[in-house]
Amino acid sequence: MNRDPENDLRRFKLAAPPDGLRERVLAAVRAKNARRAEEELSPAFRFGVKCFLAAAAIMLAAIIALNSWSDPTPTTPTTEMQVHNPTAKQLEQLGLTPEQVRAACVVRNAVNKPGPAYRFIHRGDWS
Amino acid sequence: MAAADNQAETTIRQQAAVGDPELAAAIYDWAGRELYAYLAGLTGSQTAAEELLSDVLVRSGECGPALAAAKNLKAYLYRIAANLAYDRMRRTRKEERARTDYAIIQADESGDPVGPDELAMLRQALADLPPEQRETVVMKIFQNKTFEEIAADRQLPLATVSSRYRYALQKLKISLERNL
Repeated sequence: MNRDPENDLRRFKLAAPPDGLRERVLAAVRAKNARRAEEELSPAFRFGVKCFLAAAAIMLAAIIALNSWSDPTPTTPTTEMQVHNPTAKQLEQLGLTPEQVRAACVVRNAVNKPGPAYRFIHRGDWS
Repeated sequence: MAAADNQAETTIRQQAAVGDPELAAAIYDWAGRELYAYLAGLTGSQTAAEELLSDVLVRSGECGPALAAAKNLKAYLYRIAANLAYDRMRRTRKEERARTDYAIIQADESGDPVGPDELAMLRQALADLPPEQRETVVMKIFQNKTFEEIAADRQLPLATVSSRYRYALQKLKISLERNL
């Protein structure tokens, strides 16, 4: 059988668009646009939260650093602090004479080496 | 008719340029039914066509300035529609594609009577065509466009359109002769 497909096809048609197509399509467009607007807003919100958290972390780090620099001497020094990281004042409080303190200060950079008065490790600022 | 068409096109370009919220409605009124027919014929599903048409209108709004400056506005819309439809067909699983019944294709009562078997065969034969060939058949036969109009709308060389159509008819002929 010799068929002409073009003629065959012309006996068919596309179904007519369903009723209310325009309203449904435009409603879907509005809904999709609204969803897109929300999605555009949320990255800005996320960026804001990230900025806030980063600023908080920086401030916390700054506070910790400032605290450790401004007052390295605890009011009641521990034994370990007295031995390993003493300030001149602490050495005096430990009962060292001014000469012993001066001797200790002379060797303050001699880490892990015995000084004339005390064996100590210096890890901080003496001033 | 042509003057009204030009007026509508100008309005759409202006609305696209300023991001008018009524742009979607204007595009629908100008080319909505035509794009729907194209998408329904290409995908074989009215539901998919409806969904894709709304996506086309959303996408048109997103690329407002480009749409406003498009050399051929209808071709621009067809390109958006084709890109979305082809993306969707690529994403759709094979089993799901097989379930598409192409009920969008119906017998034309004004012509020779068509038996249910013949209708089912033709739907299957159309579904089996590669999408590029199917879209050409849909535009030529069901949208009654000339090759020149199809080439302009799809921004394709005329020879490509006519060869796609010719290959599609060859495949349809083989398929129909084998099954009927």
